[in-house]
Amino acid sequence: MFDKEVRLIGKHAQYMSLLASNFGEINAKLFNRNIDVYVQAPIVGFLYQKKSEKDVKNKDSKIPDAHILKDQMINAKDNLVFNMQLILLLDKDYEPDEEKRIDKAFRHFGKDEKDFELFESYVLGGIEILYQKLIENAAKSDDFIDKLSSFTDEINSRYYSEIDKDVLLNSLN
Amino acid sequence: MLLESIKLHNFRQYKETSLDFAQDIQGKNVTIIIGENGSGKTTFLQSFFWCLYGITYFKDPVVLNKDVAANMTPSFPEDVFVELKLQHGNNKFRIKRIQQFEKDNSNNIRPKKSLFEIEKKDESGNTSYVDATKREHTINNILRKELARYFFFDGERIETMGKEISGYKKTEEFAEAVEGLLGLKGMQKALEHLSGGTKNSVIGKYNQRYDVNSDSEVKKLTDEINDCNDKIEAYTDSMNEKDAAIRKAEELRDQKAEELKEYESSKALQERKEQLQKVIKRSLATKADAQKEICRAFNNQASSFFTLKLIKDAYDILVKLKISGSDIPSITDKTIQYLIDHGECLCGRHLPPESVELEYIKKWFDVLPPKSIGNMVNDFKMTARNRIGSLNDFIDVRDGKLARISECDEEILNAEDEIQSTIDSKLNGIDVEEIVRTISSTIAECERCISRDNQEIRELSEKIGAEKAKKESAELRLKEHALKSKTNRKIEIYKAYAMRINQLLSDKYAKSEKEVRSRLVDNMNEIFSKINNGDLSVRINEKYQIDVVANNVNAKVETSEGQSISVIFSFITSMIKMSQENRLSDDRAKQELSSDIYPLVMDAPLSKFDKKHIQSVCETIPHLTEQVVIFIKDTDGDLAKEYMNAKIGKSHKFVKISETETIIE
Repeated sequence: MFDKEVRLIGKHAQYMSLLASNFGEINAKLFNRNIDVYVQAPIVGFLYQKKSEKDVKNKDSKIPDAHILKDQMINAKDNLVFNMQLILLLDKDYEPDEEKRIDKAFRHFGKDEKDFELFESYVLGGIEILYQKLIENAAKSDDFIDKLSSFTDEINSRYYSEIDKDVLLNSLN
Repeated sequence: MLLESIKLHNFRQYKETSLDFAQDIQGKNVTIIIGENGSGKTTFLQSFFWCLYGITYFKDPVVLNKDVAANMTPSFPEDVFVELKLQHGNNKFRIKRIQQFEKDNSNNIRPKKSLFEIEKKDESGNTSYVDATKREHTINNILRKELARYFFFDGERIETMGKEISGYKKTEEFAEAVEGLLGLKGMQKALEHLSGGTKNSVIGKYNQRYDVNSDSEVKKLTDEINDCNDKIEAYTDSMNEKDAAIRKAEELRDQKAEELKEYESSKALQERKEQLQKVIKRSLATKADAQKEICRAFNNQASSFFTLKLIKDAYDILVKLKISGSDIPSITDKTIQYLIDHGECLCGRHLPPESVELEYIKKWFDVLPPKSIGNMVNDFKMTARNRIGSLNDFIDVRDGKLARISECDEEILNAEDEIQSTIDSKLNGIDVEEIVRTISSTIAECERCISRDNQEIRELSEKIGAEKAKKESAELRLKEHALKSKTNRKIEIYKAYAMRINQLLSDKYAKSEKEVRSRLVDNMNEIFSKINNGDLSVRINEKYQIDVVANNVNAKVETSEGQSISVIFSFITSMIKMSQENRLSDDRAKQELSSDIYPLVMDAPLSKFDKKHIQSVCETIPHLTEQVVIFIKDTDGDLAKEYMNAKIGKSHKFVKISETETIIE
């Protein structure tokens, strides 16, 4: 798992490329590379409970596919595994039984093809959310920065108002 | 001249109006006429001009009342007249100007030439009509047209004169007004008569009358003197031309210098614009940097930022697990199975079936993955810790940068706003530097002309001096020769008398003019300082250029509109006051400079001053001359009554009935 080249098609390919491209007039990037989008997307997809399927409708369109090289995947493998474990551990809709979720995340990690499909659907859903939150309708640098600010504010207020980072860090030791 | 009454018939909005003027009985010499704006105060003032000189300053030359004009029919013409009764010297005059208007069949109003009659009643009560040929002369005797505007003037006129004063314009007119009003004119005329020209003046004519036939030397000398005179005249003309050229060049130079000032401020604007453009550029760069830094921080911290919540939830699950913690890192059940299958432990000990060693090693199945996940969970926790640890207050970092961006935005906005609203509108896309260069070169050219002409004037003056010396010597010799002939001796004697008189009068004129000017300045300053709290004073040079001087620095200052109006107000009122002083003086010298009584008729003198000055203006006006007629806005009426009460002899009020009719209450 996570040791092969990844290829995205259709709108997801387009969105991923845009997310990892220079924007506006200042030549800044939201994500440095496609792999960085790929790493963050499943978490965002899961946070926003957004799953999606491959955009086969646009398979034959002229939108170029987006690629992530094998080496890049292997280098990001630890992060990807961690993200997938998080999702398997927490997705109650996918597996209501907590014991079974723990097994899926650790004991039997990587053994069920469906688990990976779940992960991938969150990757695609996450890409759509990231596109919608960070790129859509933005033209100038100011627009991109505004969108990024709103998006990060939204996450911050939704999830982090009650979390004390230092307490959590201590309890993990 | 003292005004007694005026009667208007169909004159503009005055269909049938008459009013009397205060006659200085028991010191009440002020007539006030109160009227709201638009009630026709200026028109009323113009009726004096029309009556006396047949002129008005209206755009519409038809002075006939509009209602009357509208109701007219072609067969019935209508008259307009203004009748003015006044005293001048010991005579009383009734001056009436009538103009007839007809309507043609196309409903156009056709004016006929205006006519006027003058009835004169002398001291002994004899009434006579002034001949048509002498009427204009009579009017000019009463009040010359050029001087009339100093006595009948409206607010706009004061403003225009104020501007003329500050621009040194029309200074000859001021000088002429002073000469005319303060009795210098007569002397000036006498001087002109005596020595005004080389041929037509008294002295000039004597010079021509020498009997040249009796003595060839006399002829030679007369020719020489005439030649000198011609040259002096030519040089003087040339000098005057140069002088005029210098004045023109100076005017152009000053005008260009003013323009330059404006453009220099444009130049400063241009520099300010460039400075602001730099600010914008710098702010844009700073802003772009801040934006990039936000992106970089997001890039670096996104993993941590997004997963924090999920890590917390995961921790809540994992904390419930009982993990032995005795498992060996990276060793799984597969490792143990491998050892069992190969029958040998890592330490080299054999693991035979059903041996103690085998049973011992099988126990590891319980604590190693997959049966035990302690190790995996620990790995997981370690990644979680790393992620949280690298989360470095992304929101705070971002907000810091956003604040910087908003500062930059504000700087950019302010700079753009200043460029758009205060700079571009003034610069209007012009090339300031080019214009400044052109103006500067014009100024330099003017300076060159001025200096060249001044040099030429000096040369001409030297030449004139030389000619004069030559002439004097010729005259001296002529005198000697002239005495030899009886006729010429006579001429010589006459000429000597004429020259002596000329010299006396010339000295007297110079002295009087200087005195008059110095009295004028004193009087002006007295009035001017009353109005302006004594901070400013007025100076007048021999060219009648009037400067306003700040007393504390003793230097010329540019005047505001209000101050210019104060200057002209004090100028006019001083002249009138001095004319009155001359008349009433016991000093013979002053009496010689006397002229007749004049009324002062002023439109809206108060409206140009603010409240604190109105009192001093009101207190000044009644003492200026024997008769004062002032028009006042209804809003200033109460103030004027309060401050001038004791001096008000007559008070009238204009009431506007409609746009075409005003009556007097």
